[in-house]
Amino acid sequence: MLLIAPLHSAQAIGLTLSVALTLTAVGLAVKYIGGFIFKALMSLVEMLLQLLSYMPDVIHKIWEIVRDIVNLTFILILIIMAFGTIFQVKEYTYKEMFGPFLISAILINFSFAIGQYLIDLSNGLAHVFFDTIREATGGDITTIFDFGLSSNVTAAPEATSWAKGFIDYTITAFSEVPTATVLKHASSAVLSALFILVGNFALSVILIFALARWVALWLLMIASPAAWVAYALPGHMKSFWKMWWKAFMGWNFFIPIYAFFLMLLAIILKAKEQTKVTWDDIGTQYLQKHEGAAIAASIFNAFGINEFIFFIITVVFMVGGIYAAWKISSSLGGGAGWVGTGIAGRLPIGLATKGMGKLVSFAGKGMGLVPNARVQRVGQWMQRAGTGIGSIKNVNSGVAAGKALGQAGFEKYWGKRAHEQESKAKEAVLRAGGFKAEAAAERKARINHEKDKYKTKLNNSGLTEIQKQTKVMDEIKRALFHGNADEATLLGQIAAEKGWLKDDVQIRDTLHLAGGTQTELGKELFEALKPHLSQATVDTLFRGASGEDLTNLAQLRAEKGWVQTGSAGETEIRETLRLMGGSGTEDGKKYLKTLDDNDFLNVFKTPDEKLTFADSLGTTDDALKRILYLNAGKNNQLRDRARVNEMLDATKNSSADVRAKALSYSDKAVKNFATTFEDRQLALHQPADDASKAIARSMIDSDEILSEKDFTQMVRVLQNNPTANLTQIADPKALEALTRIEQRHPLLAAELSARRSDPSGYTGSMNAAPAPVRTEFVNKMRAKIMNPNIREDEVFKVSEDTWNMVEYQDLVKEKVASLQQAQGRRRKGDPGDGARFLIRLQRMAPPGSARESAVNTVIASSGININP
Amino acid sequence: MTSDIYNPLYVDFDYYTDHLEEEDALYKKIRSNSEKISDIVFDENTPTIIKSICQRFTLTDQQSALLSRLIRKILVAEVFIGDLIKELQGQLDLPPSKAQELADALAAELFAPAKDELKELHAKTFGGQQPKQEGNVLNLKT
Repeated sequence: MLLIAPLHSAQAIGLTLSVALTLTAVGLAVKYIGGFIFKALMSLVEMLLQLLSYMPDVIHKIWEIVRDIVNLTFILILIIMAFGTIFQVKEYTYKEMFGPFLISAILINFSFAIGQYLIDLSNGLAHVFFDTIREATGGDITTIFDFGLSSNVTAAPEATSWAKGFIDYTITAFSEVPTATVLKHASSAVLSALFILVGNFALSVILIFALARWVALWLLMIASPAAWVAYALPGHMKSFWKMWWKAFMGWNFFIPIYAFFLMLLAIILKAKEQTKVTWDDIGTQYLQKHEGAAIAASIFNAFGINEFIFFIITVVFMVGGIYAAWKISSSLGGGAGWVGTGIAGRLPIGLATKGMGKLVSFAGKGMGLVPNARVQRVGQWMQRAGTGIGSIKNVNSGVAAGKALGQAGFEKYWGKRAHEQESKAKEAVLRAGGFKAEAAAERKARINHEKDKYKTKLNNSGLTEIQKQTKVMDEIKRALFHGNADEATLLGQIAAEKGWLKDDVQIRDTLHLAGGTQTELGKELFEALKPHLSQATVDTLFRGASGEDLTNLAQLRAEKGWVQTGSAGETEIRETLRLMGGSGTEDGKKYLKTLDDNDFLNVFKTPDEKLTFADSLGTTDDALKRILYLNAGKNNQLRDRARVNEMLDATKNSSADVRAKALSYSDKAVKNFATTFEDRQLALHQPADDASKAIARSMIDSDEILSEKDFTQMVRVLQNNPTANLTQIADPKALEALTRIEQRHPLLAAELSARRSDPSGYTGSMNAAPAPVRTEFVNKMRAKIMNPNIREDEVFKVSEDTWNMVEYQDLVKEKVASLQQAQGRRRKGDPGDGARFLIRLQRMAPPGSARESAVNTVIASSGININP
Repeated sequence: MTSDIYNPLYVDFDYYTDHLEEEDALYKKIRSNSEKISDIVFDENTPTIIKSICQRFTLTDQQSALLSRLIRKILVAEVFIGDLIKELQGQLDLPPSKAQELADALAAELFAPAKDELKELHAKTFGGQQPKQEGNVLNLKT
């Protein structure tokens, strides 16, 4: 044992060193390759930012071709206008079209110049910010990335080559011998690699957006004549112009907005050198106190605490700035906003900020151990700031966290009291909208509190209701004018509750200031407004809405039955569902349920329109199609067999509840397409489809299964078995039918029973039945017919085949004789009950029918005079 | 066998085809009455007498059918015989004098063989009920 123990120890150390060397090798490789890419990306971004205004001549040439084509369409528009005026078609008369037509006719030819001017304006604005950045950094624009991400440390710019770096690390590690030291070097190498990867990610995002903006603006410029001609057209065609304009403005102003955030970053980075001494001092104190703190030591080794903090700020601004730019661009209506929103869910921003937050929090914890009260306070604040950074999801919170971090550093450097720095930093964070969740909750509480106060004050003001209304409305206008969101929101809520807020523009602006209908406050305001909104107001708001606002308004329109009529309504439903993410999403389901609850009020003039729309959907939107068909079924609007089949097909994979509803609607619809008993009989015997079962069920429920033929067919349909016979009744509904027949139609029940006595469930003519079946039939029939309670109608309604049987005719005669005999002595002129039985049978038989012939045969051979 | 507008038993032939229970009830009532009354119902001459009266009073087919039905209802005591004149005026839309004459003709030519039985049946069924219309009273004494 004594000999083996040192050997094991040596093996363990050897393994640890091998792992450390591998990690060092990989970390350094990534660092050097990443560093090369970082420099390349930086050069590309710098080049792109320099060439913002670049537009190839070919774009102008293509624009000219498009413009010439579009100019031709003016003749067409004039013709449309002429017809619209003659026939007084709304929106197409010269009164409505001529103004926009004239404007677009002129502006089409200047569309390139207008676009070019707006691009120049946007680029000019961007260059103002870029100049500020250059001034702040004393170099290129990308110098801020270089400086902020500490590329001198992370990217090893003059690549001393991977091999040299590795050898240096290895020599250092082994020369210092202790395993902990070797591991420290390995972790430093891995962390350096990690930092360069984050930096590269941030630069890639910028590069992609800058490239996309170039291409998007070229394409939009080419399409600009078509967009301007759409301006002259009414209805949906005009939406192309709106779409183009939103896309153009969105892409165009994306860069200056982003440049603005970079400018903020540059200003913050100016302080980096000033804070270096302070932060490094804190780091050194911490490491002296905690020699075993390997991770912290690795960070300080890889970076230094000052570089580390500014690295975080830079990354947050780079990526967060992109995010903010696309959010603002999105509020312009499109462009980069669309792209950004589309990929937002896929970017690991939340993950990255969460990780960074943890690191800051960890650093703060470390500072808390430094024996200095001020440093400890800053440490405590850093822990909270870490939590804040972890919750960063947009640029506002990023800006705030950055400012807070920066301020804390500067304030300490300038020697002010740490707890003041802390409170100021926190306040700054909250004002800037940072720590989003906390701020939103606080804002809501604050607004509600202020609202209650205001209401009390208003109630005690001694003003009349009209004066109160005037005062609130004036104050809303003032709040809107000054852009005071909180005040406008609380006043808007009061006005909505009182029913005073009816002006479209005020409603729209108040909702906008509340953050749109998607925010918690906006939702609250919207809910308060709902009962007071007129259709005209909602129409106006709906036309100008986008995103979640649009879907919320669409939901309201569905609730109120204000969806447009005809094809416009169909488009509205389809488009709303698309924006809601499809019919399968929670929003989509809620929307469809509302439409269904209101029976698609106002959308379709006739049931046929509803079903034609459903058919037009094909397989593109199964849920919508299903709802439309079920709605028609619910309202008993399925008028033909094919429609019933469509509804049943649309619900074949639905839940049990929905399927049960569909079946019940199909049963109800049977009498729409087969109005008489004879029609239903005929329909039951047509080739089997989904509707056949509905017909069978409907006939059972209406007590219309009155013959063996219909009964057998009913069994076959319900059991999906075209060869099923009477001994194979298994379907619960078929069994129910059999029970009903036994209770209400004893002779048919006897016939079925006789047929079922044969193993094959005999279905042929009873006249040709095997002897045992025939005997069984006669015996069972006799037992029923001779029953005193059996009436003439029961005897009469057996099948013609049965009436043609001599045995059956004899049974009837037997019954008549027994009735005649049972009456005893008859009074003069009284025909007798037997004769009356025959008279009634004769009355029931349709003239010329086989039954009439059979009844007359019975009468003739009965020996009873029915005409005494 | 078809409906016969002059036959109290078959005037509602089609109706009773679909209402067998009512027809059974009717036969039961007829058979439970005295034989003289049921003889009037079943007698093959009854339709001939009614037809003759209808022609004499120039009744339309519709009025004739209504009269046959009214006769049946009186014979089974569903309508009070004391109200015959009033019923004739109301249902057949006849002037009072013609209704009186028609009622007298029915009493003399149709109901006479069973007048006592009818009095007894109606007294039993309707108790001490008085005719709804005073003045014009059916004379069953002839």
